[in-house]
Order: sequence, then structure tokens, then C-alpha cells
Amino acid sequence: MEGAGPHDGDVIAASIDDPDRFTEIFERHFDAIYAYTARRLGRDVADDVGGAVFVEAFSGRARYESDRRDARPWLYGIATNLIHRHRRTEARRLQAYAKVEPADTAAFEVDGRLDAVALGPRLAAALQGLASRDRDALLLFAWAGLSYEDIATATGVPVGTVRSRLHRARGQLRSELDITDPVRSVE
Amino acid sequence: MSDLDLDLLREWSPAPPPSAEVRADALEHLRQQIVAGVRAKPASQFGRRLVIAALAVSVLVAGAIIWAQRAVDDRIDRVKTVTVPDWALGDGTIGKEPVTILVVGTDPRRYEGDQSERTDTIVLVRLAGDGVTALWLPRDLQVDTGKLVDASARGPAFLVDTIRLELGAVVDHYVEVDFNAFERIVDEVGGVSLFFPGPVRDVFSGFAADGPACQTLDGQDALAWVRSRHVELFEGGEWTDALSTRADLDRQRHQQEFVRALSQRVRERIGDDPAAAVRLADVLVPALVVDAGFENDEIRRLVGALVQQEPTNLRLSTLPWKVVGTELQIAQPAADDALAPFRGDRPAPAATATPTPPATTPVHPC
Repeated sequence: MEGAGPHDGDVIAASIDDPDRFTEIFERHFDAIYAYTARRLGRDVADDVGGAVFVEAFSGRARYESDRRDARPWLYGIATNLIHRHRRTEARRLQAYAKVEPADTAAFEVDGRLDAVALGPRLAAALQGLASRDRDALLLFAWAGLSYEDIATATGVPVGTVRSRLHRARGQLRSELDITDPVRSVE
Repeated sequence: MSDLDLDLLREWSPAPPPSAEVRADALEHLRQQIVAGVRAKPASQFGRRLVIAALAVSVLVAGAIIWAQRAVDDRIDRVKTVTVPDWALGDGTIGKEPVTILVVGTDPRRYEGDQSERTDTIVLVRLAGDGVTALWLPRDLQVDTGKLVDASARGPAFLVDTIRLELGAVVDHYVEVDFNAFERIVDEVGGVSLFFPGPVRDVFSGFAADGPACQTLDGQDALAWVRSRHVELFEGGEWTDALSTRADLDRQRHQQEFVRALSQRVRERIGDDPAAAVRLADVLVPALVVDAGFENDEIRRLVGALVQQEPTNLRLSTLPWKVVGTELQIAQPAADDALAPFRGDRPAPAATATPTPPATTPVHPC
């Protein structure tokens, strides 16, 4: 969000009188919003929902607080609401992933490190087992790269709530994946 | 807490970039909102074009077969007709020479109950000795009098005339279809059987089927399958991308296969149980409006023309378009190629330039 030019808040404020300016918001953020939606619902549905986020945002732009320099929390919040309308699609998708027969346990480790592809079915099952609010928090953190504060803005809850949702989601995920190394350093 | 869980999550599902087409579609949709200054319905027609072309053909084929049954003659009289003046329509007669049918339809609403827009899709379907060609036309295409969809709102004669003047395509017959009939037709015939060479899944649409075996798809699964773009096949102990880089071509292929299987199933169903034709007609009749010049004999010839087609003789395409400012315009010279079969100014359709994709799903009787 750094870089030259006016920040998101300025652009959105300007788009009230000059609606064409709103395409700048699209140009800045569409790819990321699309990628997040596609990870959750699949590309087929994201083809619709990705664009719908910006149409929705455009129609609600008058309510945007223009001192917020970064529109991402707002846009991810809209995306989250739209994703909820496709709950069944997400469930079917995770189910399809989880259904793949478990491979040999030894295959989970490649060169001494856990392999995400082999663990896919377990990851999917774990995500499916999360409460919807917890899953939102986890995926906004892991996939969208939002901070705790951003997630709080996006989902309209206090930061403390985000913290506890994330804690619960990660605990469930880790126990499902059987991750027991408490001190694995972050690379 | 280490971040292993988060790392695995990120690695497992990499972020996919939007295709240039999807991005252009979404931006175009936003621009339309900006111009119109109104809020659009959330579920739009993005990414549904080939699907709609396939649905148009499916409903046409199934409808024609049902229609041909003597048992439904009294139902046929109930089909709503609309008068399209002779000067607007061409004089192509089914069974005698190539004929172009304009199919105007409503898109099945998978996510919203919104039925506010009457016309969602406009598809040209051409029947000729060498096969069936379906061409999807964007509803927002800019024409002399506004948008194509506005021309449609002014009645069939105006729409047909606009298509002749702007695109050079002569329409011989006009049909309106409610595509919501698609799922019900599939359910009414007891599902459609397709052969899958191994376990198949599409984690994007949620579609899954076991194999090697014939599987019967109900209406909802059938729609998911027709829409599938990311089919994976389980072979050699792992899931492989069944479509690889040929996704769109192969999607055409399984849509073609689907149209064939559906028409076969409809024929079988009617053969086993003559009363089924009447039930199918009851699903279809309220979903149709046809031009008043469509005579029963011609419908029967339409059946002959449609059911004799090999699936590979079915070509689905979309009219090439581009966004110019806030307008959607046809993209030349690609549009001329796509329209050539409908203009009758070339003996062979240009679409044959696209090689017929090899079968990933071998044709297998179910």
C-alpha cells in the first residue's frame, strides 16, 4: 500500500463526486481479493464473487471512512460476507479435498519437513471442522495476510475477539495435523 | 507457537491470479455500475458463456426430441408463440438448408433468487450438414440503438433485425427458453449417465464421481459437471489435472459429450415410457416461447438434424469482444471469423480452425 500517489481513502473520497476514480481501487486490489476468494471457493465461483466485491464496495463507498489509508480490510470484509453466501460451495469443496484417500504416513515428510500437498486432505478436514468465524479469522490471517487489527476491522469485532478466534482455530488445526514441535523456528 | 501450521496452509493452497479475461470481465462489470450509477445483482454472467451456449443447445436438443412425440401434440398447441414478421426472419427451412435459430434465455440463478432481468443470454445456434455451431453474444454489446439487451427488450423483430444489421447474421427462427428447465429435464429423465475413466473430481465446483464406471448425474450435478473447468482424474496413485492447459477445449469436449448423453437419455426415457414425453413436455412447454412460423413438421425435422450429430460436430464459441471506454464492442477481425458460419458467406465454418480436442473421456456407452 506504500508508493506514490493518493492513498485508498483519498481515492474513495474523490470517487463520490467522480465515480470513475473508483476503478483505481479495483486496479490496486482486485488480484488479491480474487486470489483470496478463489482459495476459499474455487475459481469458478471467484469469477463471479471477485467482481461482485467491487460492485458492492462501489455502491457502499459513501460509508467508507476516508481517513483509513488502506482499503484492504474493508474489501476483505465485503468479500467475507459474500463468501458466506456460498457456504455450501465451500463445504463441498473442502469435502472433495478431504475425501482423497490418505497416503502413506511416511509420505507426509519430504526431506525431513512436512509436505503440504500430502497433508492436503487433513488440512481440508481441519478447515471444515472450524467454526465459520474462526475459519474467517484464520484464513484472513494466513491467506490474506491481514494483521489482527485489520481482521478486527474487516469482521467488525474487537481485536481481542480476533486473537481468541485465531488462537482457537490454530489450536484445532495443529492438533488435527498432529504438529507437536513447539519450537520450530520460522524460516 | 511455531508457524508450521500457517506455512502448510499457505503452501497447500497457492494464490491463483485471475485470468486476463476474468479481470477484464470484472472491471467491465464495475464500469457498467459506474455508468449506470445503480447497484447490480451480485451474481452476474461472468464466466458462464460457454456454459450458456451448451445449455442452449442441450435444451434445444432435448426439447426437439420431446416435441417430436405424437403424444405431446396437444401440449405443443399450448406453447406460447410470438409473431415475428416475415421481413425480419430469413427463410431457412430445417432439414433443407442451414438454419439459424436465435435462442434468448434466462440464466439459471444458482446463488440468488433474482429474476428481475428477463433476458440474460442471447445465443445464435446454427444447424447445418456439417454440425451444430452455437455462438454466445454478450448482452451488453454496443449496437447502433444502445445495447443488445435493450434491442431484445423492444421485441423479437427488433432484436432479429439488429443482429442482421449489426452482425450480418440472418436468423430464421426465434426461441425463448427459461434455462431453469435444464435441471428439471435432467431430473425428469432420471439423470444422465456418463462414463468416467477413473475417480474424477473438481475441487472448485465440488463435483466428484467414482470410476472407472458409468455414473448417473442428477440435475444439479449435471449443471456442476457442465460448468467444470478444473477436472482432476485419479490415476497412477495421484490426482492429475485431466485438462492441463487445454482446459477450455476439454470443457467443450465434455459439454459436447454431455449434450449427446442427455439427448440419448431423453430418447430412451420416452421409448421406455411414452407417458414420460408428456411429463417432459409439461416441464418444457411453460419454459418456451417460439416464433409463430415454427411448424410441427419443421420441429420434427429439427429432431432429425440434431440427434444425428456426432458430439464432435458441436462447436461452442463466444463472440470476441473488447472494452472500449465504458462500452463493450466486438473485437475484429476475430469476430468476423466467429460470425462467418452465420453469415453464410463462407461454405465452411471458421471454427474448424480449432482442432478437435482429443478425448480425455473416451466415448463409452452407459
